[in-house]
Amino acid sequence: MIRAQALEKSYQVNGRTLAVIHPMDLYIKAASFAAIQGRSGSGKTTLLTLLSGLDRPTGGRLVLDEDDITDWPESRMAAFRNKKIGFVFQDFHLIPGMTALENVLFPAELSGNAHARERAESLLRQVGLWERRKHLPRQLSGGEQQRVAICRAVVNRPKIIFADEPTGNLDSAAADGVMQLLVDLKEEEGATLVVVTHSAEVAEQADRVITLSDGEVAHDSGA
Amino acid sequence: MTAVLRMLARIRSEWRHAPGTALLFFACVFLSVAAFSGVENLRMAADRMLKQEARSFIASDMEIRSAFVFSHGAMAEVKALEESGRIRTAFVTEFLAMALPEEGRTGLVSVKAVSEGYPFYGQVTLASDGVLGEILQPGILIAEPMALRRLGVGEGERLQLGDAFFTVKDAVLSEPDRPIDAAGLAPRVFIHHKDLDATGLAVTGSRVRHRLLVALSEEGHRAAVKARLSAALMDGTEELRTYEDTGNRALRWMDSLFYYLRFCGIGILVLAGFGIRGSLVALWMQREKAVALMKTLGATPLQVGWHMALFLASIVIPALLAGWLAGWFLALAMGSFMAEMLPRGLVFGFSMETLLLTLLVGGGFTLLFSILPFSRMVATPPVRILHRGENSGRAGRTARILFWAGVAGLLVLAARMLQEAGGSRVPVLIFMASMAATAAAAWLLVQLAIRFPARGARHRVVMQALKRPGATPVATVVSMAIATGLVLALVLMERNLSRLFLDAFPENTPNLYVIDIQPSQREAVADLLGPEALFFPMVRARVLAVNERPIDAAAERKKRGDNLGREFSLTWHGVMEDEALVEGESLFRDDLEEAQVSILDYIRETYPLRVGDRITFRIQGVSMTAVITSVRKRQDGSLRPFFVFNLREKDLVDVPHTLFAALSADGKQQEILERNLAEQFSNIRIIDVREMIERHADLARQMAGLLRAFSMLAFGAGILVWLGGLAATAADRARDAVLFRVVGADHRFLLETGVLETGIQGLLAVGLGFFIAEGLAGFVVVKGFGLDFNPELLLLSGCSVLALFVIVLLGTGAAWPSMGTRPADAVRGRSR
Repeated sequence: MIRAQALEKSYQVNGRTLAVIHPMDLYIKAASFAAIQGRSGSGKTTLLTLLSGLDRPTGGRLVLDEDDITDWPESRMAAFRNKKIGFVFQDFHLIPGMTALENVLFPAELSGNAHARERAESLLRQVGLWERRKHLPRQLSGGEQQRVAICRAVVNRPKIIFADEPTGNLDSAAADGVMQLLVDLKEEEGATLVVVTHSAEVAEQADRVITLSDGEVAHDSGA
Repeated sequence: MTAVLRMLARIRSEWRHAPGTALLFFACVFLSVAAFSGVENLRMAADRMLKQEARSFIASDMEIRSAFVFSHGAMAEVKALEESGRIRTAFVTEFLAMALPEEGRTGLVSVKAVSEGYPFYGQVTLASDGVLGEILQPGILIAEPMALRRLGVGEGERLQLGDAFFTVKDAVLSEPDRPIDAAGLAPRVFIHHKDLDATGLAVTGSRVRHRLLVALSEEGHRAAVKARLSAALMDGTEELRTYEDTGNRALRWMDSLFYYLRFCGIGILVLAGFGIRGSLVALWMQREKAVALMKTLGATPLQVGWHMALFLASIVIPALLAGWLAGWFLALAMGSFMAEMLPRGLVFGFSMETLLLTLLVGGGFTLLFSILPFSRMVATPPVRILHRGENSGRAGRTARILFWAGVAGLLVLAARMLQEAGGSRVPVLIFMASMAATAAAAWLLVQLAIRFPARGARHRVVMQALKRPGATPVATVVSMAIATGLVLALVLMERNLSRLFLDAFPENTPNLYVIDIQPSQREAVADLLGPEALFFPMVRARVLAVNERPIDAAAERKKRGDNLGREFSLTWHGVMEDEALVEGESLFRDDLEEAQVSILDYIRETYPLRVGDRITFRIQGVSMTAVITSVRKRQDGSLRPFFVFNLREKDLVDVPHTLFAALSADGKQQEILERNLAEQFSNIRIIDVREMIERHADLARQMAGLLRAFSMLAFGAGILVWLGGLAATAADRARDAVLFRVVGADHRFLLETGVLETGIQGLLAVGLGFFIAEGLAGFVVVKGFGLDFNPELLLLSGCSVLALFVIVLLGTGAAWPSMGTRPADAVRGRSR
């Protein structure tokens, strides 16, 4: 579950305040799939970074999975992200020097998960990358890299998965496969899925579509 | 004009894009050149002075030296040459004597009795700015200020030397034929040569150096005069020296000094070279996309190369010039710091030769270490505009050939420079072999560390950090190992020398040497000195031949360490308590009738002597041959008196000899003893060995301070190498740090992995540095000083831990800023 109350973000530019996200109330229920859409510069990615705790809001409060994380220090947020949040990025952001298996293992090892290896191996088998587990990211295709990134995002069984344009760098066939995988895993783990996307196909699969315009909610299909 | 402005604009733009890395590159070039230029400027100043004023080092064109009054043959030839107007002469007689003030403390002084004409070349500087010849009249004594301080006398007061009394007038600040303060055993006093006989100190058998200075009326007479004088001299007793003789003590001392300083300077050049390479790799990685973009838009490799070369030149040229200038100031500082060890009156003027040499060598090293990264930079394919990450670019074949040719060339140049500085090839080869061994060990250890199976997230992160493109773990470990090794070696050397020379001057070790006691004075002197004093007979002699093969005294004196060309004191005594026989069953054999001699083993390092060989000595003009019957070895580090040649009493008893006594005395007791001896026996001199050792220890400390400064420069170079590696990987580090934080790593995790990464490299470096330090210090202490070496394992371990702490602190601290990118920026694909 995600609850945002009067959440806002602004920057000081040349002595003037520039509001990127205007005060916004938002509630996304647990285990749902929400898509955030909007034109470039509408504030989609900024909202995602605020909702996921990657960035600090300049106002308002944020509750994730019953925890009010608004004022948490970075160290506590890091542990929270590790255990309860998974991220998937448009550019995959795999760690270049680590193999596919090591990339998936990494968050699990950070949390001291005793069954990390079994879980990571099982996920790679599930996404059809078992044979490529020892390959470095640069030796994988874009679709394969994104599948590894999804495995990494769900390896700790997170409560919420945030995805920023997960299919933006993929062709349509690979994009379909990745989106299907994301939805399947979300269903399997009972997690909440929040996806920022330009794609109408992706948005169609969501339970709810939130459209932003100039930092404000222009339309919310779940409202 | 427009082209120049455009070029400047491009350079400015490059500086703006990578200011930190450009500054790092500047610092590496600057540091390497500054150290090298410092040594070269100092060397050049000393060299210029030594060469220009070479004749002043013997104050003449040539001189005849003898420990005895000059032979009739020599004097007859000198007189003939003088009468023919070809030469002018002056007499100089030098000896040690006890100076006895009316009030104050008795003390040893180095007397120099000079006749009119001295010096023919150079100048004796007096405190009054007066002329020596005018002030130094019979009955007058001019002393070094230190002598006056020690004796507690002032100008106008009276001072007794032997049987003569003098009035102190003026103070001598420098003399041409003793250019370095450190060379003297005791402070100098000048008297007129006409007063020499009145002192009664320069009598037959006394320890005196007679010098007859010869000035040529015309340079063209040189060869003829030299030939005539050489022919007239008495073999083995009198010796002709010219100012060109490389045996000059000052020149030899400077040779040794600059040999080691050049060694340090070149070492720092090499270390900084690694930093140059690292910072250029960093620059290349930062500008890779820009270069790829230039190529995508149609720039040719030549245009890219020209563009980047201009940018690098804008860094290298100012760095070389700034480094040269800093080196000049460094030379000034060294000149002041090492004043006692260097010739007086060094002038640090502008030297085009040093500037060119610095630019050539510094520029050469910079070019050498830049050539491969530069070639790879220029070879960056346009496709890199699409992919950021591992760069598989490889330097071109020409660049690689040039690099290795350059390495070979610079090795030859370095070896030649060290050779010119007077060193043998062996230390150079040892140094190079050590560098190669260190590099191989570092490579092996880093490979082992990287291949170690990763356990857990921290370990995995560290492993991938060490393998990251642009990371330079081997270069970092090598440079830090050498730098740490140098610093630790100095700690060890200082500790060993200090323990053996100063801190542990053993109780009851004789610290006063009483010399020139006539046999007839023995009983009276023994009464004064007490029963603890040890007496040794002494016969002054030179080695003429070994197994009838004549000894070339001039060639011998050029050897480092001891040599057979000098004068020796023969003695007769049993095996001393700090000596042991290493060859021969006893000192002497009963079954031989001929004269026998036992030798100390260390002299065999300079000349191959074996039991059974026959040594011919020249003792006061008479030859005597003795067969070697045994070889003795002294206990390392012993401060007791020793004699290289020990003969049987019956072989020497009829030869004129003096006695030497050694005893231990301190403070008031020493003062009373010195006054009593000086008052009763004017011919006797007392040398305070402890004071002499402390004086040498002071010089050693100055030297150690200088070497420490160079070691710190080396350490600085090592740190720059590290920073170069960090700069090369900063972007990747920042990216990875963000990714780690996105998936839940906190600052502590990043800090721990940072510490672990620097810790592994630091541990390898310090570990290797530990062995380098033990090896280097052991070599210097055992081979250089002939002393026992204590590895001081506990102390060195403590220092190593401290060095590791400093390395980890600096390394982690330098890497930390790249870990500060906000996680939110990762989503946007940007980093700080």
